[in-house]
Amino acid sequence: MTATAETGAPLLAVDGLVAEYRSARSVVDAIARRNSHVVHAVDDVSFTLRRGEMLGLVGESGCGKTTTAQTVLRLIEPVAGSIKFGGEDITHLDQRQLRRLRQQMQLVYQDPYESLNPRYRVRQVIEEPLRIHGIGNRQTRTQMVNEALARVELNPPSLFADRFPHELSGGQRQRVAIAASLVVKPELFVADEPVSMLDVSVRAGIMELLRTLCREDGMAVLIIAHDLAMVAHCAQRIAVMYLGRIVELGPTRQVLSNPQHPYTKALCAVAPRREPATSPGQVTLLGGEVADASAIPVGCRFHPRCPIADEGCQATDPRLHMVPDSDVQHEVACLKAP
Amino acid sequence: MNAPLLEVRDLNVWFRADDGSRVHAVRGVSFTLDAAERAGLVGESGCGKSTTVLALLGLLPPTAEFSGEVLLNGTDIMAEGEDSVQSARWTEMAMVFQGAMNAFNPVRRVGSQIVEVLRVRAGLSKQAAQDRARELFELVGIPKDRVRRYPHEFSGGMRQRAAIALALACEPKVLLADEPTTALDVMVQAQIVELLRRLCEEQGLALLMVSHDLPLIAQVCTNLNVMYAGEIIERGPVADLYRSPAHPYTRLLLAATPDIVDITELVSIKGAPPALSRPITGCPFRPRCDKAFDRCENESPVLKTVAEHRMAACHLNDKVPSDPPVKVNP
Amino acid sequence: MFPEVAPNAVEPEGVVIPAEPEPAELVTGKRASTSSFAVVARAVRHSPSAMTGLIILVVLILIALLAPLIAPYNVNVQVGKPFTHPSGGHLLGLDDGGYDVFSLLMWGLRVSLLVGFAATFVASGVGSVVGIVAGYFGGAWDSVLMRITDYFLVIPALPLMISVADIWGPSLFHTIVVIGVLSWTVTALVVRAQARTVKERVYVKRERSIGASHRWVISHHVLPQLVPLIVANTVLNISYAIFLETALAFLGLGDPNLVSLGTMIQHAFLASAVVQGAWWAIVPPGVLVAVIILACSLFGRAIEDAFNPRLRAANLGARSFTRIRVSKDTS
Repeated sequence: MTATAETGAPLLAVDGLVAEYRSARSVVDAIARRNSHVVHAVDDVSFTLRRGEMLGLVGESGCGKTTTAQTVLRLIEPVAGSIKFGGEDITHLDQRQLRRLRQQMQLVYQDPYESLNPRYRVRQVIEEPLRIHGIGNRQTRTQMVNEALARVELNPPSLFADRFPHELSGGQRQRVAIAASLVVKPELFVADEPVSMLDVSVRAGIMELLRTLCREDGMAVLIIAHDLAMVAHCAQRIAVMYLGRIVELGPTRQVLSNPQHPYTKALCAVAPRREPATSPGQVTLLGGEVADASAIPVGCRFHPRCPIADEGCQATDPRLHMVPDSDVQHEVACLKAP
Repeated sequence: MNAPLLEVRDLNVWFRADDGSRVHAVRGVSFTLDAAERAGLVGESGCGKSTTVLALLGLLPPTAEFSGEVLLNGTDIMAEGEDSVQSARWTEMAMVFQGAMNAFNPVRRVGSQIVEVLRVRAGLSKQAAQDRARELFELVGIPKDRVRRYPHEFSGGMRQRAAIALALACEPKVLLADEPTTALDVMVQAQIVELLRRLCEEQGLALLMVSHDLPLIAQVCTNLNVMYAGEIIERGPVADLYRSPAHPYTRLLLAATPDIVDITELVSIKGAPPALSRPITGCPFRPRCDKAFDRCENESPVLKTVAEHRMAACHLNDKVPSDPPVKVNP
Repeated sequence: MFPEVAPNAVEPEGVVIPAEPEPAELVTGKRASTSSFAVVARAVRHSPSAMTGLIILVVLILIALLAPLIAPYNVNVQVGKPFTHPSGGHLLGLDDGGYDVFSLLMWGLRVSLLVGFAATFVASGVGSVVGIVAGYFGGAWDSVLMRITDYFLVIPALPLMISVADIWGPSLFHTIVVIGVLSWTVTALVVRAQARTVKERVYVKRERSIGASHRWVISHHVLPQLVPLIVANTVLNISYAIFLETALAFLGLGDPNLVSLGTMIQHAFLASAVVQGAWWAIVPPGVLVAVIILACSLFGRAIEDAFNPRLRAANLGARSFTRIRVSKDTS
């Protein structure tokens, strides 16, 4: 188990990923079974993730972050691009081979109130992945369940193992979901907005747990979030997404203290601060709403809302390029950034 | 000193559960709201903040019982029950509900729903109501021609603006907002919050905003009430509160709130709020407090003044132990 | 028996904090049993009509099972003149052949219930499988299976039975098959609708990301959620099946060798019982059929309500705001 985050090849390497949702545009289409309405949810996304590293994927709703996570795990089929997991190309594996691989990549969902079967006791929920993958026997599985419960700080395990989900609080339920994912000892952990439905006072506990898993167990963690501040506290690297494309990528401190892309700058500016601003309204708010992913603007997809866009931005679609003068890998996709 | 516009005295709300037990959701809440004042009601899930605001307009479900007084311009609007509240609803005090995006009838045009309110409550003629609806849209920043659109043609942020327009229809003096920005994106949240602040300033409205989001509410409100387990446990001007909280819960809550620039070690508060179906002895926050001492076990702290314009319900603020009157809990 | 309407809340754009009216109970909260049996038991206990339905059904089933032992007279032996009035020895008199009506009722009940249950189990079995496959897998499976269901749905019962009776001769087996063929479609539709809803639930989707096979997901997560619905639907189908059997037998399409409640009515009718004023030969079997159907409906409806609270009318009604009770006591 590697302890440092930097050694070796990345565990997960995503390159040029494209995913779309198709639906019928009108009644005529529906009858003719022509799905011509395409939502370009993920449009050429590339990033890497190493063991022991936490990467935060942030953006507003509709930017494609959840779709990216689901596509990386092949829960949604990519239309183009490649996904390499542990050096192996998994983009075109069939379902049977994938099922075997799922033990290594686990997903924790946003809604702790819906993600556990209400008729299953905690013990059964956590044991199920073990039974599905044929790990251990009755005795060893009980042992593993208790270990997982202890790992997520639900102590004493025997007290929690027999409960039903509705007898637990939201934070406890989310811990159970994490335990159920941990029990098969995955290498990649994807958390889709794990704390957004929880109270503020319990969020830090869950995030700290994820950070510990990352640091101590050397897991690679991909965290989807819309809360920049929470990601700032926990993730080493951050990727900002807009309309299906990563517009800025780099170490968290670097990106948030010196944002290069106008969208990142806007997100940082509207992020509420613990200390109330002395004069509210000093921030120029970004006008309009998030554009429709089925009608992506030509050229730079951000240009309709961008405060510094010019004619060049309406014509050319920028690619990620390195920010000069930074000794760390800080990339941005903006024509106006140096 | 003018009399406050809205005064709530000793509000208590109980809910009756299926098995007959009662949940004491709001416990003796009292506060005042002056004209053009923007106050916030902050707390986490289950603390009773939404219930409090719903109670002010008499919008509690049939399983609820309540006691206390709600004085609007000196008159208790709850005195005659539904009849007295009905006349105050929307014309004096209006509300933007949680999940207001789903508050519109999906098969009717948005404009016609506002027109309906104007004709029924404000007695306007059809033409006058339609004009006023267009005015309201402009006020909240929606293009006037959208009046004839259906709710599904609006984005989330626009629907929220429409809900605010609906609330302002009869020119109330008090605007209650129950988590008006939940389920909206950060950018849109900032827009809505800015809109609320501007509207209240321009129209001289008093605003009572409920939220669980501490930093967000600081952008709108000047005064804050912090609720925990059905009670108000701290009150004061926003800046003072954030800089030097007088109650451990407020302090811990602030420490648990991440900040994008000031990256410090985040705190989480262990445990959970107390069950409100049983009477609480001593301080309700004691099991989770990091500074609890022996007095907190049996004596329930009273909300009292600890500094100018600052109130808190915590024994730690008492300099002289023999001072405070004891509130006895049955 | 209507398919469940999928909840249609608007998708929130950002983040939704659920409204928790009570704060989270610490782990020491009370444990309410959520097993299907417990839920049904609770529902029946709280509803007098459901309790009545259940009791009636149980009593009738017992009578049917024990008919050979408790029927007062042998139904194959003539015990008096046809259409004898009810008397002390024969509580419901004698029918057109001189057989004791009361004993015939028990034996007829036996056959009617047998046909009803057998046909329904076949129908529910087939319908459930079709519904689950169509609802869970969707796509081509759904299209094909639903087209087939549509075809069967519109087959008229009577012409089908007449044809079958004509070609293959009337028999108990044929009756069961025909009723089964006609009633599986409604089950399929109801199960499909619910399967589609369950499939979308987060914990079912999560199973895929854990690596569960379709078989695992269906047997461990989808089916358990559907069982209550299937049970409720089956109970309601039984009443339909018994009614259908009675109707078919009355029209002379049932097995001529067996006595069912329907054939009792048929014989009495053909022997002009009405004209002769022999109400005891016609009314009791008819009333008994009605009672069975009523009992099934009451009980079935209670199960349905218990498992699908959204069907309860109260939830569909407009919210009524409370009349405020200002109580001066503080507690």
